Amino acid sequence: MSKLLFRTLLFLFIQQCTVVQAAWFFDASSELHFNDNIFNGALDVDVKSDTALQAELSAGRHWQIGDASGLLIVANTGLEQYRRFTELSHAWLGISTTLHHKFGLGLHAPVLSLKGSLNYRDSRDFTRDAWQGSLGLTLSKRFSERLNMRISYRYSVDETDQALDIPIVVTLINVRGDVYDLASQQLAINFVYSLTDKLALYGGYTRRHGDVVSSTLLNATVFNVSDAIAFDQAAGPNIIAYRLNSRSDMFSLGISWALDQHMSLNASYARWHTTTRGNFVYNNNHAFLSLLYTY
Amino acid sequence: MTNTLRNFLLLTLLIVMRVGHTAELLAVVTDQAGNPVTNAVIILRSDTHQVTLNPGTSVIDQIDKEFIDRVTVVQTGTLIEFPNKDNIRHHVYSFSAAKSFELPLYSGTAADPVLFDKPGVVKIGCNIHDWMIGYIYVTDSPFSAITNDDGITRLEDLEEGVYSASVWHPLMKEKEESTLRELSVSADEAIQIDWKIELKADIRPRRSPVPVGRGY
Repeated sequence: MSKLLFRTLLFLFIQQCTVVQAAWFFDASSELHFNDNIFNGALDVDVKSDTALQAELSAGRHWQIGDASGLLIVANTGLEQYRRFTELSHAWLGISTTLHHKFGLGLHAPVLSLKGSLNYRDSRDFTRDAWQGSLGLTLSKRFSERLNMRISYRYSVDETDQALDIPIVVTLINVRGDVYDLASQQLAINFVYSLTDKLALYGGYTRRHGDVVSSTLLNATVFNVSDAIAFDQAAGPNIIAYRLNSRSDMFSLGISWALDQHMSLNASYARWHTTTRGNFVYNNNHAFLSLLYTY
Repeated sequence: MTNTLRNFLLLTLLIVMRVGHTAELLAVVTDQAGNPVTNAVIILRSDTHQVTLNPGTSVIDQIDKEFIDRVTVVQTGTLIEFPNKDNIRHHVYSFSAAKSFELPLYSGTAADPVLFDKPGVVKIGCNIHDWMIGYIYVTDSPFSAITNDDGITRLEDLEEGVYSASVWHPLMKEKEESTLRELSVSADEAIQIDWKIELKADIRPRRSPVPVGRGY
């Protein structure tokens, strides 16, 4: 049965590859990103800011499957270079696939899409090297020619190559060093509202539950509540990274300027508010400036 | 009489005969800011002549994920073909009262042209690419034209008589009826009509990328 299914899918795939209806596409982006609390510090002394420059390329192919559905397969690669904490700089290579279905005809028909992605992140700080996987479901609907909204759910997992245990911590409280093995889920609602033919407002709200990593100078209170603890080589000497279960709320607002039909210049602000186990509370303020190109 | 002179007189006579029975209308459309309005449809309806329609066929292309032309005017009874000149498939549809139709995903030329058999405005779209929007103005009048980039168009070979003229544009705030003008056309006459219309912002679903979901 599974062989038959596999052969059928392979046949359909090959058939689709040979027809003109499968379209190639290409995206590129560059982004300047400021984060005022790069290590998610809960204490004032741990709050440090940094700016990163990011560039990403992605290319893929879209197959229209019937009148209402489509399949998208995309390969992407990118670099993020930090100005101050350079050990955070990293590159990634990944692949994603999205299956989408439109329920009906016309602008206002809702679209449901299922997306899975797998990336490998290679950081200068090798303890942050990780496989990153995610699975998400998005429902989007256009309410008018100006307003498009979407609600999405995503489950994400990061799996690091190796853990840097601190022997004494393992011995005393049996907490390992795999701080960057993370799991989280998030629910988001987003909008895009066209102000003019060139300008659009975008933004949304996200609720996230799951693991976060913070860094601090050696601090006894984190030992009681952390799931994992390791030295944070990117943050500096005698600083430890610790993983906690958390709940975060994020609001974002941005403005997008269409330079032409394929390119846009975007500026946005996002604020995260996070509460972790053990009642650590911290905020992150992000500012983004990005140039996007799609062909 | 030399051949040259004979030809000259013959040509002059032909011109006089032609001009003697027809007139020309120059229509100029500007918006509230005084800018020329492209793609405005000018319609003339004759109050004195029995008109005969000659609908024929027309073509609306799909090139680089856009309808070309964005605005088309045709006579009632026209068959329109929608050739897809992109290397991907399009899915053309309309929900308009004057013509509701659907051309499911296709590349190249759709199987059959679509018959536009009722007057009115037909808004068309592509179900795959939301920003692709076009308009077909279907009219019972044989006298129609669309303004160019300078907001100008000409209607030629008008017979003597009384006409009502109107303008329509997809972004026009006012109704077409409010633009009606009555014209009395005499032979040899060249008439110019200027319309100033108020346009809404041209808001279409965005084609250029918006970074929703990025950065967090």
